[in-house]
Amino acid sequence: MMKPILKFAEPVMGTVASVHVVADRVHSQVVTAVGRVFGELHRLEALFSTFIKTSEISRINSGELSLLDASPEVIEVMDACTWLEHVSDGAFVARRPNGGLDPAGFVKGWAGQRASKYLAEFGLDNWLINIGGDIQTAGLNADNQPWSVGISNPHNSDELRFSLDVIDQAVATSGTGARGLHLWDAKGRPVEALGSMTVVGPELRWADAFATVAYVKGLDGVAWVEQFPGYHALAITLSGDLIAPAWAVSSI
Amino acid sequence: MTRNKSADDQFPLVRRLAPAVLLASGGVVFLALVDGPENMIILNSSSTTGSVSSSSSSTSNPTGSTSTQELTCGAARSTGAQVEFKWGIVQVEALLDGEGELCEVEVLQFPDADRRSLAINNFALPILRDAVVVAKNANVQAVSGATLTSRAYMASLQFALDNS
Repeated sequence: MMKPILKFAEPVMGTVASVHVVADRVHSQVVTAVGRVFGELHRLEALFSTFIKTSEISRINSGELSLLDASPEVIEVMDACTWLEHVSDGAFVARRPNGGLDPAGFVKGWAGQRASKYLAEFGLDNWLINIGGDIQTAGLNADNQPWSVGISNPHNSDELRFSLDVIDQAVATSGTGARGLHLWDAKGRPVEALGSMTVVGPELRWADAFATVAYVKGLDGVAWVEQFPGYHALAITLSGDLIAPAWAVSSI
Repeated sequence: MTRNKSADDQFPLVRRLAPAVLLASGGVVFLALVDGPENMIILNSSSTTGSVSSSSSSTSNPTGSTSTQELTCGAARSTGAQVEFKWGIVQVEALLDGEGELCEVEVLQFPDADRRSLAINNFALPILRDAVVVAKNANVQAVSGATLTSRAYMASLQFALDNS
């Protein structure tokens, strides 16, 4: 039986964040929780955006602020970015050629996951948050089924190329798509070897970052993602074919 | 959690290079998590028996044709064998349309009756559906793709989903 669902959308971080909550709680609680989620996203945008002159990242880049004096969130993000640069053999880039910081490739997914903790804190079990295409799900949808996430056709964003039914998982897709060329390889060349790369896995912060890396790596990226237990990549080629790995169980 | 950890600390030596599977446009393929990267369950649109096979092949090129006719999905159903993996049993049912083409796959049996406990153990079964099926059902709740600008959002499928 279909349960009631409450839907919210908020422009933030240059895109739109959507939250869908299966309303098995009092509505006012849901509204409060989602308000906290959006508030946290705005707070993190103000901290990290390179388009906002007063953000900590902008102040670090202008020399006004030392990274050593930055807030714990900035330290955490740059720490993760450094690890990603290492583990990706340089495919992940969070620094500009001039040495300035640009952790945008990590912040959106990380912020989405971090903000979604307010939904759990308010006792909400079944929800989905989508930050401009980077999705974290929890529990089941209004039909008591796994959340079904459609993946855009990179050649026509009005169409879906495939979908994934997931429970308690995140889905993130990297591609040039609507924002035009925005990814570069280690030599500073724009990347457009694949239509798009999608990563599914437990945590949005890693799914998003791994999708970015795997997209830069091209077809090798599908196997690269498999080294991370629980994370899997699916690529759409320029000709529209779908490339997927055999999804392995992490036997912990 | 990853602070100061190198890749080798977290993922010692095991670099699992899973075979890639090419799913040609128009094919319908079901992939399940299995107990080794070399194994998988494949149901593709060229299969008309609806049987489940555990395959170790690394490449599949479904060549089934895609009919543009409106056909009733589920006109015929075929239940696959119970396939046992070390973490449990998976059984799927194939739904065929009037022309005997595979149009939908339903999972009848998960390795555990409680799906949530599966997910908590990272044993969730993501189900991949190709666009043929997606288009027929179109019952997705969210869209993942290259990041939309807030202006592009207004014309996006996600906008429609948020306002339905």
